Amino acid sequence: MLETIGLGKTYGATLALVDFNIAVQPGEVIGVIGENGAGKSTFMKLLSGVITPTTGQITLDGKAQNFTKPLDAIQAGIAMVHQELNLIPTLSVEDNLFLGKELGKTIVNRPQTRLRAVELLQRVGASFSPTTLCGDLSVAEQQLVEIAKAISEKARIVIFDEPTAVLSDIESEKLFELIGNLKAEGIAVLYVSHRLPEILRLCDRLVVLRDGNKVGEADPKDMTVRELADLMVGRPVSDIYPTKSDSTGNEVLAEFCGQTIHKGEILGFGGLIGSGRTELCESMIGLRKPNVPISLNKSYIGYVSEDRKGKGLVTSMSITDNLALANLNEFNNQSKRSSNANHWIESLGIKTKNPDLPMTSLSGGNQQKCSIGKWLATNPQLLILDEPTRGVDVGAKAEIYQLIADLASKGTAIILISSELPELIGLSHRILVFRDQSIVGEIKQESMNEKNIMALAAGVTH
Amino acid sequence: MKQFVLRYGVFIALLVLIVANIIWQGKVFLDPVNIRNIFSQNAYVGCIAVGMTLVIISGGIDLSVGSMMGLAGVITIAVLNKAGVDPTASLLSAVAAVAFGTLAGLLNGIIITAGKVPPFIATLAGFVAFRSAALGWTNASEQKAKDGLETFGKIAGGGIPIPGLSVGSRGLPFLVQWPILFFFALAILAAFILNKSVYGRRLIATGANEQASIYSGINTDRVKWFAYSFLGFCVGIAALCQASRLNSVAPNSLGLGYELDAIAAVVIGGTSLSGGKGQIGTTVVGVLLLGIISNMLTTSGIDNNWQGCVKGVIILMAVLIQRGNRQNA
Repeated sequence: MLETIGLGKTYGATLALVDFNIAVQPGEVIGVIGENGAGKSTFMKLLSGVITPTTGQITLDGKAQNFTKPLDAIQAGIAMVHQELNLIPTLSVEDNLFLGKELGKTIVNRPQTRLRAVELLQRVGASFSPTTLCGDLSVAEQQLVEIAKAISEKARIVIFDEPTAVLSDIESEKLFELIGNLKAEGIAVLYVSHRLPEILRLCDRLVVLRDGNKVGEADPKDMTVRELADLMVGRPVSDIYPTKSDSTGNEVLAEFCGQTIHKGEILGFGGLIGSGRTELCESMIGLRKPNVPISLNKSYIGYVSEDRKGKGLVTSMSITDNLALANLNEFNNQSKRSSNANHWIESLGIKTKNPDLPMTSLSGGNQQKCSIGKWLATNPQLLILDEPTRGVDVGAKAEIYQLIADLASKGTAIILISSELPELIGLSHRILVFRDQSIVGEIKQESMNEKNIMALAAGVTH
Repeated sequence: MKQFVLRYGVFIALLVLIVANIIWQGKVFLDPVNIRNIFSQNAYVGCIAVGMTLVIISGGIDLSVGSMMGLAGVITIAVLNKAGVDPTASLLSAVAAVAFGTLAGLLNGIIITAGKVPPFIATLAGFVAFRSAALGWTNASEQKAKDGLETFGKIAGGGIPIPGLSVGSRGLPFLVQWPILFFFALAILAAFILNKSVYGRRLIATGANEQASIYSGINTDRVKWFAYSFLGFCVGIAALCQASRLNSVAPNSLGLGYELDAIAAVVIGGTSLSGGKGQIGTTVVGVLLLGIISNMLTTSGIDNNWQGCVKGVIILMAVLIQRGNRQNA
């Protein structure tokens, strides 16, 4: 149905995508995987008409397509569910569903809109009213609206960009079910994700990209996560989680909600999105008024935010300046800032040609290393890492895991917030599970598994 | 209860103000002529505030409207005097005022979209340039309408009589003047556009998240052109009415400071300056709120020069209350 022939895109001297060929059949779920910068987003942007190809072409049912704007792709039946949800919070669900293709010529045909909105919401299994403002919906509900919007225009191909990045495990399950339904209706799905286990489960076929080139197709049936990671990175990825140190120190570094964290301990915070993990951490560093007793010394605490671009880094500023940002009292001149930057670039393995380049010149993984390095430069005894591997590719993930383990073995206490359960289990000495703004349980090493964490997080007894 | 107060705060404030005035001034405040004065004095800023609401919802702002009004007024009188004979002259001058306003607004829109100039800067340029053109053209002197053009005066002076009401001892009919009617007509039109039309959805979307709107296939440039043109159209009407009322135009003072009064009314009405959210009805209330306060200060004999301080406090209070609203929502 959809075919690309020799599709390519160059930006100046950079080859973002080279000679890409793929054929998509109706009802197929194809996983598109690759590290950050491998060309996945370029491919998606080309298909959805956000950018135009430098070479090659896209054909639908044998007819060459010439997308110059997103509307062209939408009308041809290619819809995209963006990672950053593209809804208008101040408009109702039904107005969002038909945005840009409103029913009615000058005046909105309200009854017709309502009718079709209800229909679409039913198809995606949404239970909220079409008149709700999108801003009042949860992230998962907003994603349902995005999907309903995508399939509203008789979409034949739906592209999902990292759809589970913002979802809890339960919400992800519902999404997979929905993708199954789309498949049954004969809609083809292109699925992009960093989460390899779900890719293996969900997809009929995999396309692997590396450095703008398609390096192969794979059948997920006879693959393991490890093999898939090797294929993506192009070299064997050693066991992704480092060995945990067996003992932690005795010195208590902080007390909160009747819990303590010790020197050299990696303490995992598990729970669904909005369960209060980030809020507690923000209280610990004094960003918000705590509503529970917290006792710690704020002068030796570091906080790496989950929102790298929004709260972690000043992306327009240089790498050097960003790395000095949390400790400007000490790094009070250019030469001190430079040597600080060089130190962290080397010890964290940040890949850059020149530390004076702006943060935007780095890939996601390297940016994340910088936002961690910024806090390491303050020499913290307690470091809070909020979703430290979000939007980071497999290679960089392994490096960040190693870094976390190394820090702990040198005595730094780490609080790790993560929505990826394997990551929490693979790294933490102990896991505290949050639900409805409070800690509902503690899981020790011996009983650490995904089932136990989810049961506590969702409040299900078994 | 708290939610209710916050949500309908501006309506409640207006009500409180009206009740306070009735208690304080009694009959004087409720006199139809006084009420009509409040409306007619604020109809000009009101027209502009209505258009400004759409521009602000689009995520923009227009600082040029006061100067644009000055230049539109000069053009109105020039066309009127050149065209000579009534009623053709009055009609042509009206068309000229509205056409100039619309085109000047469109020009703002094009500079902002095609030139990718931030609205604040683009319209700051207009703020300076339009006023200068008005002054340069007239040598800064007052432009009077020629004698014998009575139709022109009726644009602001005429209106629709209210049966059973009369003015003065000679029993002249009580007229709701055209500027007041224009103000409400524009408000109803804009509210209709905002709440019922396809364009309204696209306007809100553009202001809330331009990238998402483009991904949805909306031509956001065209959305902005319309918003600025509509505001220019409103400015043209305001200029025409003001020129007609005074039968002359002072290029150095016509519309002076109107951009700020209009923006103040929009902000008091709760429209978010960051775009994507707003209402016409509350803007109208914002205009009346400022108008009644002005009227109160004048009747109680407070020096005109101090009125700005009171308005400043009102604007700050409105914004602070609305921020509380957002945090509690």
